[in-house]
Amino acid sequence: MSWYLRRNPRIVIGGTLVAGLLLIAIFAPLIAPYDPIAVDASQALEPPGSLHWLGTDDLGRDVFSRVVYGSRISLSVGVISVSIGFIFGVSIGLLAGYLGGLVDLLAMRAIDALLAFPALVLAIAITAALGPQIQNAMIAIGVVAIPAYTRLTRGQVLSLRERDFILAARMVGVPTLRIVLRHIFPNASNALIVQASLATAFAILAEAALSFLGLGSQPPQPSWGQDINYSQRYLSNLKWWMSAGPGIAIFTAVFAFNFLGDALRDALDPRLRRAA
Amino acid sequence: MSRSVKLFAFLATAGLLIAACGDSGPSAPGAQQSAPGTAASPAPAAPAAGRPAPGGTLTFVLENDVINFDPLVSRAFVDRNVHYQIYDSLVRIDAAGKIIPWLAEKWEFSDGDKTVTLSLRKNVTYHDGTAFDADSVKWNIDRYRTAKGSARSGELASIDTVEVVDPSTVRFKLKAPFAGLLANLVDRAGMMVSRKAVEAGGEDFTRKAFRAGTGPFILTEAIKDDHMTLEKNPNWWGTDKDGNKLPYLDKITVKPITNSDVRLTNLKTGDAHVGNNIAGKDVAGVKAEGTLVYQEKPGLSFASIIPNRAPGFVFEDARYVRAVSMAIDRQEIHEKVFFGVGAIGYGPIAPPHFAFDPAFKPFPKADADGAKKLVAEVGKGALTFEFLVSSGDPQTLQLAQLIQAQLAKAEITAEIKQLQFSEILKLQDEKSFKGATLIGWSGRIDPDGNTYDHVFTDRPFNDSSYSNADVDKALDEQRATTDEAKRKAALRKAEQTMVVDDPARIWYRFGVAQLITVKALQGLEPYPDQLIRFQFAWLKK
Amino acid sequence: MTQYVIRRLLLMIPVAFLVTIIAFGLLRLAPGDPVLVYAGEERDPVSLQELRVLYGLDKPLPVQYIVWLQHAVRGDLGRSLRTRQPVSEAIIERLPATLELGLAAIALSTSIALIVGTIAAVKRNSFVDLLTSSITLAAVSLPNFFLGLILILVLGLALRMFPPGGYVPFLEDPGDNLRRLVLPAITLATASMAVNLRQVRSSLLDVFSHEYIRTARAKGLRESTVIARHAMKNALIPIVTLIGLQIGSVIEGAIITETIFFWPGVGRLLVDSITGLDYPVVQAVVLVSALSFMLSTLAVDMLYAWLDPRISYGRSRT
Repeated sequence: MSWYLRRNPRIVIGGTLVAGLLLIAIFAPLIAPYDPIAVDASQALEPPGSLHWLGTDDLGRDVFSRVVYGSRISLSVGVISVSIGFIFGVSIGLLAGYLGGLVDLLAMRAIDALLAFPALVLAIAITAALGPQIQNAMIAIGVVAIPAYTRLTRGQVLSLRERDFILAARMVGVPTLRIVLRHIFPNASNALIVQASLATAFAILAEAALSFLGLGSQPPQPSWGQDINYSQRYLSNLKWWMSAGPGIAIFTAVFAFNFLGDALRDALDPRLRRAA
Repeated sequence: MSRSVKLFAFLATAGLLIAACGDSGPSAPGAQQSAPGTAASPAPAAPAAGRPAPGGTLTFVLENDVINFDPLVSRAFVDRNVHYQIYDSLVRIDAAGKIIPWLAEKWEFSDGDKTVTLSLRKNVTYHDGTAFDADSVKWNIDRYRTAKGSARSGELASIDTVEVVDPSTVRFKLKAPFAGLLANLVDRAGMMVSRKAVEAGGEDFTRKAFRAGTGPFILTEAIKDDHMTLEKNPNWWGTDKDGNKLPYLDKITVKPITNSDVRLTNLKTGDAHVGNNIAGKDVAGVKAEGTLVYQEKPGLSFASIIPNRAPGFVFEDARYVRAVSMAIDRQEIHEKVFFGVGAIGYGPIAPPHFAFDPAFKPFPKADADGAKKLVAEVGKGALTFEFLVSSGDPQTLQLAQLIQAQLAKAEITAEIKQLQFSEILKLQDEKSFKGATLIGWSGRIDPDGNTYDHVFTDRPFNDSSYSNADVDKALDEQRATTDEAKRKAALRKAEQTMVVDDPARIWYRFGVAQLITVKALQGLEPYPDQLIRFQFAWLKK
Repeated sequence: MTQYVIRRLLLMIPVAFLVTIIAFGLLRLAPGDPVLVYAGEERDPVSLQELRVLYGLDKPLPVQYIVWLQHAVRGDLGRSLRTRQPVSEAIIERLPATLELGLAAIALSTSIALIVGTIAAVKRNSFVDLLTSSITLAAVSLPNFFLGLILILVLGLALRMFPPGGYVPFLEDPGDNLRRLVLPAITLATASMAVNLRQVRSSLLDVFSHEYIRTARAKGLRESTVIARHAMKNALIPIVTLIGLQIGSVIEGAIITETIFFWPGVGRLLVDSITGLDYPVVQAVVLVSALSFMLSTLAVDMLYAWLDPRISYGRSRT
């Protein structure tokens, strides 16, 4: 593994970017100069300047501080929803692929239905059903991410299932669960790791989109997508800084995860490079 | 976001306060509409530069699409903007808010105010050629009162029977005197629709109500979310003060555009000629730029924080409600959220109402200390409540967060909970919301319409579950007489109680009627109900 | 092959079923009462209950679903709760706008992807190639609503080159319609352009390494002929897949763009209807969207098989 890393500066770059984001999120209180939810209406709508690096919003809150703290929501949504998708998606994929038969049939029909359902619409519908809170956005995005993992895992399982070493293990009497966990899963993990990174990027975008549509996190907690939605109406008055800050932040975070994911893909599984 | 939230959120429209503060009643700029009780025809608005020239087409940008052209089932405020052009009501208001004759030329109360006799205008025909007469009035009123799914039955609940005396006289017999009846007949409940057209249209009538009214314009086309076409009614009965036939315009295209910025852009580029709703943040810019004409007048609508005062809920104790009312900074809200457009309000009786008292300012400044003392007096520790805010409207969110910060200064904690508008409505309907909500009211011409159903025990809009016997008594009193002096006294007494002594809600603002027009468009002025009347409009060449 | 197609079509039915049940279930889970939402300022409980009965909302949930299903299979998708307009009419009214936007975006993204992707593949690892990869990565990472807002701000408001939103039907004023199409089309095209571009590039690279290309080059054919006649045809296959999928998901893709630019398409109708709890509209649009997605997947698979004779269906699927 480390041989790959040394040979692949792109992974190091991507990894550093992602690590940097995580550090910003964790150490937000030390980095942000102001309290992101402190309202001071007398300072409303100030353009960027020496006091406020990215200006203030219509309640006088410091935009830069809100962007820094906003990373917490975006990253936690990214990580948690991908984890949900991963855990459920992989489990279903493993079961469906290995057990086959009726289980496989039913599972794949359900996955097909989820896929045929427009992804954004599914996320919106789930969030609308459960209520516009950040936890529900995580669940929604997680559910949307499941099919990709399921298909990936199942594909891997199917191709590995008939391999000699698996057949040998079965003949010897190794329990199914052990085969799945000890032998099949590790072989599929490369593709899953790549998918995880890319899915996080997607999750961050999706959270931003949901918040933009008014379905994400609760005020007054800062969230990138919600802040853009919230300040969008001032664009026509050419007050751009309230939307620019969070927007660039989203871009940077998504870029970082995409970059890392691409680099990992190129390094870990050259076969996947074709399926760009 | 084109849904009913606009109906309530439109309160966020703003205009600068004109220098009318200080008057004891509504003031109207420029020339007047005709006085009540006479057979005069509507006169044009403020004298414009030059003589009105007939002809021309204009585009009107409306904040939402019209869903129901049938006044029977219309429930949205925005629909009325089109209704007023295509239908005539029995009575109307002038630009100052006084009731004037319209299809009814005069009216008489008798029998202890339990009978109203209306004399109808003669020689009026519907756009489809059928005649307007007393039979038509009876059919319309009975339909509004009794048809299934009618949204007007509440407004006409006081009417017991409608009698046709002769082809141009109709008599309403009321169950009990009701001071707000005429005011209700100004709007949809008094709009006259052609029976032939309704019966021919069937279930689709409300979406395709072509040629069904008697109004100055005829609805000839309606394409969902795209546009509506109103064409001049050459046989309309109205004339201007020189005797020229109204309307002047040949055609109006109504375009629904839900986004305020896009509406304004259309006005700036000349793609549209008139609008009646732009955001507060844009008003200063529009006035400074000078290419458009901006007019504004105090409106009838109000905004309030609605606490749940039912037993068992936080705000059951009146002192808590008063503490919040003391702690919020209405001036700051007015300036920072609404950009100084609109008016600070303390109660439900609005500036255009005859009963309005401009000296009524019970909470002129934010008083955090006073609020703290009140909360301490209750003795149950700090005040914390759930503040329900509708997701999807940035301005409401800003307002809520500002209020939250203001209350924090008085050590009151408002926990903002963002919910779908539909969910908030349901909680309000079930009276199960735990703290407070922020839904406003579009306003009614008569102060009864701004008060009775909101604070009288168990009335439909009494979302705060408020009940105060003195208020109930005073409101019943003002409803039972048409004597303005008596009504004023009763209303003001009720207001003192429901705003200060035992608060039903926390009122903080009045809306405003705006009008934004291109320079070539003359003859229009804002009305306190925030609706446009196009019959006086003309385009300067 | 025909057997395969029929099997796929039949499989679509249970999936479509499931989709409608999911949509129905999710929407009914949502707290709130649509009657209250659309009743405006009406509060009389008797009147509201009348409305509920009128819309069939007073019946138990499973009954409501079955009633809807019974009507749907006969082509009656019900009436919108908000406007009482027949849903099929509402969708048909708004479909042209969405299709116009979607197809414009696909055309834009495909042409740019083909041109730039080919250049990037031919001049592999050159500066152009590197620049292109960075730009595509950036394009994919930029939230499309943010891009839209930037375009509105810069090109629409600051420079006043294009109108910042709104729609005029093509037949009414073609010039204005196209002017208003530019910004939303660019916004919608960007993300898919990036994906398409990478696909073009990698497919071409893959093809370039094959024997028959080397043979063609050895034969002395001009590079352009090599690319055009031999490489392109085979590289097109996965690209066709992508384009097909994009056509199929045009409704979904347009949702955010239509919201930002106030484009009166089906996407915006869907979002407004979900938040407004306009059940019949949501169910109908989701169904249409899912069906179009599944049909386009099928069409793409069939096209795939026709283009690449090595692929044949009928054996067990992976």
